[in-house]
Order: sequence, then structure tokens, then C-alpha cells
Amino acid sequence: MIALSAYRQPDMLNEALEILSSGDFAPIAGGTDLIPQLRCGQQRKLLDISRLGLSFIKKDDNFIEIGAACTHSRLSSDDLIKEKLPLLFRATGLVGSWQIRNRGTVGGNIINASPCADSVPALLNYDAELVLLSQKGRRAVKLNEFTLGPYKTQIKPDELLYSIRCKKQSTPSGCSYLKLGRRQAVNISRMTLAATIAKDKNDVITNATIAGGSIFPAPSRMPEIEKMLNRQKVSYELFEDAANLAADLMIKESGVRWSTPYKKPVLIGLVQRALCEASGINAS
Amino acid sequence: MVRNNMTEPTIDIRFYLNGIAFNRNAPASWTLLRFLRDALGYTGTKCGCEVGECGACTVIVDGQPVNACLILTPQIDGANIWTIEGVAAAGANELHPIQKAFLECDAAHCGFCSPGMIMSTIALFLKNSNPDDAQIKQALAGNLCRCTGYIQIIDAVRKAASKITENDLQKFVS
Amino acid sequence: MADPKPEQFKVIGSRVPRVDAIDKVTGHAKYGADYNVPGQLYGASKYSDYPHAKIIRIDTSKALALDGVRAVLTHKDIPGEKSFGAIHPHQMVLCSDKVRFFGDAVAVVAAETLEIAEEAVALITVEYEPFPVVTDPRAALESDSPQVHENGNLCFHHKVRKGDIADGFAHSDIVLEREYSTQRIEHSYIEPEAILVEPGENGGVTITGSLQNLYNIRRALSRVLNLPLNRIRLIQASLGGSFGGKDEVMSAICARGALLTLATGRPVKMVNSREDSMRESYKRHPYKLKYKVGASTDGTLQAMEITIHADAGAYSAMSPFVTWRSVVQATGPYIVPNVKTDVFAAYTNNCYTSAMRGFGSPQICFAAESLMDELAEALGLDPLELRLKNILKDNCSTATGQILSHKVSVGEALSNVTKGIEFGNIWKANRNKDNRSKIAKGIGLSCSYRGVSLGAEGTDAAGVAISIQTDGSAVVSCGLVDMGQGAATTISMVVAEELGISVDRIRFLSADTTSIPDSGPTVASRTSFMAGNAARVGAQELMKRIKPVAAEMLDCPDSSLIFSDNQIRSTIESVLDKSIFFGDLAAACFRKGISLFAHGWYKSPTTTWDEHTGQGDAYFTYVYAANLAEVEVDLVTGQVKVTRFVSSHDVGRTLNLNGAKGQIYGGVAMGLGYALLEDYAQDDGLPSLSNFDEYLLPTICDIPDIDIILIENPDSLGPFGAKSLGEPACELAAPAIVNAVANATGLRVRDLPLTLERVLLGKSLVRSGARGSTKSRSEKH
Repeated sequence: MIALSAYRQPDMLNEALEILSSGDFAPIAGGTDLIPQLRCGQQRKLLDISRLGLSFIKKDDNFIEIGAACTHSRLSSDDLIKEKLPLLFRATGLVGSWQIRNRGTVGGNIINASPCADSVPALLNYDAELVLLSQKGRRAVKLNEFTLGPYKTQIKPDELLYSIRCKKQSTPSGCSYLKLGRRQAVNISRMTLAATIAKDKNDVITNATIAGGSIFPAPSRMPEIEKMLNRQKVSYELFEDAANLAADLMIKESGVRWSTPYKKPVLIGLVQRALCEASGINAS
Repeated sequence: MVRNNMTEPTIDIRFYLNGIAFNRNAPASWTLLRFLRDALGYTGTKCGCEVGECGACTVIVDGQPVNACLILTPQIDGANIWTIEGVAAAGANELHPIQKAFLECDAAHCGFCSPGMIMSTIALFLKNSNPDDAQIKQALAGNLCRCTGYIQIIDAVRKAASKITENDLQKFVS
Repeated sequence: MADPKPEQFKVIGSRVPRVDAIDKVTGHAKYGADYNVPGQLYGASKYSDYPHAKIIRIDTSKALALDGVRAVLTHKDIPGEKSFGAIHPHQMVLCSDKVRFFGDAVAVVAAETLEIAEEAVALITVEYEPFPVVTDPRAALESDSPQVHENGNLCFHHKVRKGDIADGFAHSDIVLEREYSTQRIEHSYIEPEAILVEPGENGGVTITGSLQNLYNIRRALSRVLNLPLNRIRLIQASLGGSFGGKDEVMSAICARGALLTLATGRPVKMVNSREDSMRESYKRHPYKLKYKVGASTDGTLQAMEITIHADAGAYSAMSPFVTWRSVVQATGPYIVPNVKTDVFAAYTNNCYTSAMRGFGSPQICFAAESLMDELAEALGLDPLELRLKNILKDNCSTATGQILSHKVSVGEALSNVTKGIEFGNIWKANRNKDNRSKIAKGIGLSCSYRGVSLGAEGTDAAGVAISIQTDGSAVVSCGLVDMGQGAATTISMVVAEELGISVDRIRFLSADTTSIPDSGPTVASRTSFMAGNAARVGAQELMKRIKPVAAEMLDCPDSSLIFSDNQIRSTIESVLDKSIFFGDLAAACFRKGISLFAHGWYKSPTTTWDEHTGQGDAYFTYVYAANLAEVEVDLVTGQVKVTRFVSSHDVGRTLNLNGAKGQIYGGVAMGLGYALLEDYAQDDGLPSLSNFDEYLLPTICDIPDIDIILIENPDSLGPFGAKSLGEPACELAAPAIVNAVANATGLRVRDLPLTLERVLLGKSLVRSGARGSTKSRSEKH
């Protein structure tokens, strides 16, 4: 049973921020994460943000800006996203079921901060920046600094996630998004990897990005790997080294855990697979 | 859970349900699923998990399939909703081609997932009335069935796709 | 009964749409939760906080004081016995002295709204003294184990003794010893448990809802409520799946609901959330299985020694019967001259376990069929070769010493599923590591024999009532129920076939305990067989009465009459152009005062069982089947994709082709979940999951194409030769998939399910760190 003591559904952003300023309202967009939590939680006050016009996708010369209330379905069927942010296009297409993708939003995915949030590793590759609004004003936070740990972010109770800004890729690149789950569909990710590789005519990597979910306490980029890859010639051996480094990073950050005997070889295998796919070489 | 007080907020909502205009005052804490079943008496939409995993409560809202267990009543204000009760033409003693295909292919065993399966199938056809098997599976992946092993459901969707006309789908988006 | 030739069947064997399908595809079918009446209260149960604890005190005062609460009941408010159970009547409706598992209930509330009921439940406080917890069925039988019940933790011990295993092993060239384990799984009917209880006449109660075995439930209620059976009316609503699952748990829920109705005089609706359902509903037994097998170099089996421990959980429920089927079938469908099998069911503080589709066979099929592949590998034979060498054949003796006097078709099933492929060559090529890429292919086999119906478990009889109406339509009812498996359609088809009317002229009523006699439980894949035979008896009785009237109307001898398509004709030349409408015949019979109602009753042939030796004719007949699975395994991640599946079953005779195929498809899917996905894991008695977000069922994307090859060896006892299919369809998919995975990876996994970790590493990983205060000495594995 869900217990609410207030439900507000403002049409104007100002009004929404005013309601949030009281500090005890929780914003609800699609509700796919929030409603199951409400079923067994305490009485809550909800702020419905569906009428604030936050379902936009905008582009300017340098950025693509995505409204926080864009659903996964919207993002996984949008041509601009497909062309400019293909990792996000794929990631959002693999979230839950069609029904969930129709309601769940990218903003909700970020705010819920599950270690296995599908869209986050994709967005990290694009240096995504979050625009947070409150009555006190606007602040921008890098996505890679926003998530503090499992289900923990640095959003304040009076703040609303307004949009996500992604840098447009300057050079064309290949990419790979891998999601590991037990079923053939509708999976909670056991591990996700998202990578892009841009290379020159001579197969030398000009820019590599890679991020993972359910590897570190929060989804993260792996700058050490990117550094190792940049200015190197694409090769299977290079990717093998990168994959081993990824495993070392995981253990350094998270320690040797009960799941390490499985996650270590799988991470190594999947990093290789992702880098091979992103650079267009045969993985086997 | 213990509440601080028993005064639950309610909200005035307007919506279309199976083509009929409704005007209601609804408890904001109720899900669309509970509202359909307990307030409006539309029990064709089934409750299986209440966390959006089983798809038994799938309904069509503004042309898209959604889990009615994951929507609160205020969120349907202004929406156009279709449930299993509205699929066959009102008053006509005839099944919709999708229902007919489910019947003929033996796609409904215990039948508890069938309303949700049929609503997802309608939503699929609204997007793509000539789906291949992979597209059928992707569209129905959020609808669990424990009886059929899904094979006869896929048969039914294929068969329905071969019979369906634009006319059969028009009302669900209007 | 003399059967017509298959080509003469009018309805049998054809594809008939389900008789209840229209309501199901339009949303009109009413399931338990769809019933509402004015003035109904809402019931909710207060569950235990511990898997094992002494109850010191239950305080309901705050709950009772809450506005809108109409009753808060505990064990003290039960007028009759406080416990029930068909075999051991010790399952508590509301616990009094102690709780034995996390899904036990201690109190139940009725309130004006669901919200108030749930709030009242939260206001009940129970003081406990936690006991040590036992969760492993082997540990449970040790003398120093915490005791779940007063008389010890042994629920049942079954034996089979055949020949001399010492001699058999002495004459073996190879002896393998292997241990396997299976997990606890949830039936996962998509409809959670739901009932509406209404006050009945004469102080009784009427309950409509998701009830599988109405008569078992009614006996439990009679005992608990202290009411005669005839004042308790149970009506089956459309059942949203059951698979053996809506029996004892429904007795408990119905008893609590009925107590509330009797206490308040008001209707009470009780609907479980999925979380409640997973918490309190029984599961499939986890088994620990030790197999020792001896064979000659050429593969001929010499001896098997099998020791199985089944986790019965907190209550007996059907555990003695479930484990009996296991002991009978434990060797698999093979000729084994020397057998010693022991199956122990032990009480633990886990969720209790009882009937689930397969009923003790999926566990032993997994172990025995894995073992056969392991033996084949050890002997350098291919798994098909080894099986063909040892399978049961006509007139063979089973492990229980039963001579199989019918057509034994396990060989035919194996050859069906391997038709068109060179199984041995493919299997060997897959094993060659040089051929492996990061996606490895595998192929696997499994086969089984299975006793039809209840066998020596108990009395086996059923009835079907047929009432021909004066317009020639008919009403059919039966105490065996349709829970989605299609019984209503199959029984209607049998009646239609016998009376020569069309299926659409038959209305099949859902079961109602006041109007239909007890036909035993809808279990053991017995419905088509038992009710099918009973329907034939009833219909043939009616034909005896109406045929003379038809003969008189057509002016021809009885023997020349043909009943077909709702018409009656004669083969006599002079009246060839004449026909009577079945409705006119029915009306004529009625006018003559001939009864158009009959109740057909069928009792199964006798079976025998010697408890001490485990020898006897355990079942009156058997069915045979084989499955083949092809898989692709991602050797980087351990992900398994089943790519092709073939299933062949001897059904005796196909009654409804649609229904038969549906049973197999659904059974394979359930077996696939058993093999790869499902696990209702409990840690020290506490469940580690509660809903379908973590309890993973196969989705539509997980199911491969499934080829079905039906074998029809009509059984002399079955209706039109039919035997059974519902459960055999479900018992063989897991071992075929597991064998295929081992073929692909070269790594044998002996524990279900095949998680990613197990496939990749061959073992599962245990989350470290103790949980909570109820930590016990339970064994970790």
C-alpha cells in the first residue's frame, strides 16, 4: 500500500522549485523505481514533474541537452540520439521491458543511482553534465562526480534535476555497449560496459573512452585505461592489457569480494569484447 | 507501515477509458491498476506483482503499453486509456482479430496473462503491424506467462498480424 | 471399453479452442480477486518475524483499537483444531506456541479498507524467543539438530530394494559416485492467491477463489472451523495458474478468511500480494542426491545406490507422496538389476514444500540424467549409445520389480528427438576444445519414465456428471478442475465424442463442492485419464438410455445408429435419408420420462506396494519421453542461450492437439527456468528475495523453437487410449539443457540452477558475512 500525505502537480518550473524548497517533497517522473519503493516505505509527499516540459531533446553547436523527464523509449527511438549519442541510444533500448521504457526516465535512472543503472555508463562516455535547479539558482555537476555510491548522489532535497548535457563527439568513433544479465531480455544488469574508440587512418587510437557499471561502487569512467589506449595502434594485445588493467582497477577500488572470482575474468573478457567491437576488430 | 494521519490526498482527474470520457476524484496514492479494478470495476486488467515485472496489468496509455501498477492516478489526468474490456467493439458480439487469434492458437491457457499480452500486442501493431519474430518477442518481453511457454502466443501474434487492418487499430490511438 | 479407430474420431485428436477461451481473451473471466460484494471487509495476515522462535506473547490491543478494524484473531479464536494437513495434520492456521518458518501466520485482521487492515497488522506486536534454525535436510536428521516438530525432523523415509547392490558393484568395471543438488522453486502462477469468503446459510461459509483442490481444502476447513462438510461451500473461480501450488496454502488462507467471516458476520476478501505469496506459499522441494552407479565396460548398468534428502520445510504437506514418486522413479528409465534407494524427507525451518508440477520427478530426472552423461563420458561412449543400451523395453522389470506389460516407448522417444542428426558425432565434435570459440555449442539428451496418476499413493477414483438438456445441449461438471491446463476442454471433448454432439454444445461448470462429489485432487497428471474415463462411463450410460428412443424414431435397429454432429442417422438403407436432431431426441426422451442425467464414476486399477522392500506394481501404467536441447554458451560470461529444443512424449492418445502441444511448450519453459534461472534462495531460513524482480522467470525471449513429436501407443486403460502429459512435459527440460551446457563447456555443473558463476567456474559463490541473530549451524555449500 502506498501512503501519501501530499501530491502536487505544478505546471510551472518556479512553482515546482518552490514546493521543493520545503525539502520534504520527492520528485516523481515515470515512477518505475519510485512506486515500488513507496509500496513498502513510509508516507511521502510527491512532486509530479511531468507537466514541467522536461521531455525535450535540444542541440546547439557543442552540446546535446536532454530533459530529465525523457523516457527511455523516447531516447531509444530518437534519430539525433542514435546519430550523436549512440551509446545512450543502445543503453536506453535495453532498460527493462517496453512498458518500463515507456515510463522510466533518464533523469530517474540517474537520480535513483543504482549501481547497475543502464544509462549512466553510456552518458559517462559523453562527459555528461547535470543541470540542477533550485530556488537558490542553477548549478552544473559532472555526472562522474554526481553519484557518490549505491543509491547515493549529491543532489540536495530542494534541487530538481533539470537536464543532462552531453558534449557532441568531435570525431566519428565506433562504440560498444555491453550489458550482462541472466536472461535474454528484461535484465537487471550484472555488469555494463560502454566504450567509444576514434582512430585515424593508420588505426592509431585518437580518442578512447570507457565506463562501466556494477564494477565500482558507482558507475565510473576508467581514465587509466583511456590513457593506456590513446595514441596506440589498435590491436588485440593492447586490448588484452587494457582488460587486465580494468580488473586491477576493480580490485583496487572494491577489494577482493565474494564475487571477484567470477567478476574478474568476466570483466577482462567483456572489456576486450567492448574495445574490439568499438574499434571494429574481430573479438575472437 | 504506520501512517502519520489518515487523510490521503485526492485529486480531480479527467481521462478517456476505452473511448468513454470520465471525470473522477481519485486518491492520489492509488495506482491506475487499483483505480481501474477497485474504483471503476474494470477487473479485466490483472494484478500479478505490483512492481512492473510481470506485465499482467499492461494497458495502453496514449498509444503506449505501460504497467498500470506503476502509474499513480494523478498521472493519468488527460490521458487516453485502453484496457482489455475495450478491445472488442462495444455491443458487437464479435471478438477483435487479436482476440480471435489468441483463441484459435490456444494462446490463453490459465488466461491470467492474456489481457496484458493482448494489450502489448495491440501496442506493437500500432507501431508495426507487420512484425518479425524478433520484434514480437521484444514487444512481449515484459509480459510473463507461466503456462504456455509463449510459443502459442507468438503463433497468435503472427496470425493476428496477417489479419489485422488499420480499421482494427484506429480506435486505440484516437 | 472398445475404442473406435482413430480415423473414426469425430472430436478426439483435433484442435479444439478452449471452452473457456472467449472469456479469457475478453477480460470477462473472473478470477479470485475479481469477486467483490457490498459490505466486504479486507483481511490481512500477520506473519512471523523469525524462521524459528517461541511465541512469548501476542499483543493485538493496538490493532483492535484502530478505527475501522472489525476483528483481530489469533489461535485462541479457532473453534476447532488449530492445525490441518492431509497426511500429517500439523500445519498451523495461526501459530500458538511457536513459529516454524518465516511464512507462518500468528494473527489475522479484518478491516473496512485494505489500508486499515495493513496498518492494523503493523500494530500487532509479537514477542518471540528465537530458536536455533535448521535449514539443511541432512543436518536436520542429526540427533543434535534443532527440532522443528516434537516427534523429530524425519518426515518420511521411503525405500526401494532390488537384487544385491554389493554383488552388482563387485561385478562392475566402473563405479562412479556423484552428488547433485536442486534448488527451491516457486510455482509462480501469475495470479497470487485470492479468495472471497461470504457467510453461508445455517452458519456456514461460502468461499470463491483460486482453489486447486477444493475437497482437501474443505476437509481442512471442516476440521478447523468445527463445521460439517456440507456447510462449507467452495467454488472455484477461474484459476490463474496453479501447477500444484494452490492447495495447502489455500487451506490456510481460507481458514483464516472463514474465521474472520464467522467472527464478523461479514464477507471478507483476502488477496495476497506477490510478496505475501512468495513468503507463505509452499515450494518445490530442494533435494540433495547421492548417486553411486556401477557398470560394465560396454556400458551395461549393474547397480545403483541412491540416497536422497528432500527439504520438506516446516510442514509435511504432500512431502511423503512427493518423495514416494522420487523413490519409485529414481533410477531413471533404465534396466538396473541391483538397486538400493533411500529417500528421506526432513523438516527444516525453510518454507514448506509440497506438490509442484512434476511432483518429485524433476529432481531425480536431473540427477539420473546428469549421471548417465557422466557415465558415458567416463566410458568413452556417447550419451545416446549408453542410454539405448540400458533403457527399459517391453516386459522389462522396473526398479520396483514391476513388469511393464504395455508398450514401452522410451527408445522410440530417444530416436524421435535425435532424428535427422548424427547425435554422437555432434556431441563428440562439441567436446573437442579446439573447435570452441568464445561462443561454444552444446547438445544434450534426457529421457524418463513416469507412473500415471496417483499409483499406490492412495485411492484413485473420479466422477463426471453429465446432464443433457432438452434442446440437446449438455452441462458437464467434475470435481477435477481446470487450472489453465485445459481440463474443461478435454473432458468436454470426451463427452462430445461419446454423445456425437459438438463441443460448443457443452457447457463445463467450474467445480463447486456442494453440487459435485469429491473426485480426489487435480494432481499427478490424472485429470485427462481419470475424468476422461469417468466421462465415458457417464456418457455411455446416457447413450444406453437414449439409443432405443432414437431407434424407435428412425425405425431402425440400435446397432445401426450413428451419432455425429448433433444429428442421428442410421446405416440402414431404407432410412438413409432420414436424420434426427440431437435436441429433438433429448426432448423426446424427456417426454418419455427417461433421465437425461448421469454420473460416471471411474476407479483406477489396483496397484501394490510393499513399504519394507519398496517392491510392487507402483503405478497401473507409465508414460515415456525424451528431450533434446541445443545451447550456445558464452565462455566469457557463462550466459546460456537455448537455441533449439525437441520434445517427444508417448501420450497414449492425443485428446486435444492444441492442448497437448501447449502442455509441452509450457513444461519445457518451466524446465528451462528450473535449469537456468529460478531459485527461491533462503539464508538461515530468511528468503533473500520476494518478487519477480529477483525471482527470474523465463521471458518470451528465452524460449527457443520447440519441435514436438507425439507418440501414440494407446493404453488399454486410458480414455480412447490416452495417458498423461502435464507433468512429464516439465521434468526433462532441465537435464537436457544441463547436459548440453556440459557438452559445450566441458565443465559439469551438478547444482541447479546454472547461474552465470556455476557455468563459468563450475561452482557458485557464497556471499560472505553472517546475517542477523538467527544464525545457526546450518551447513553452507
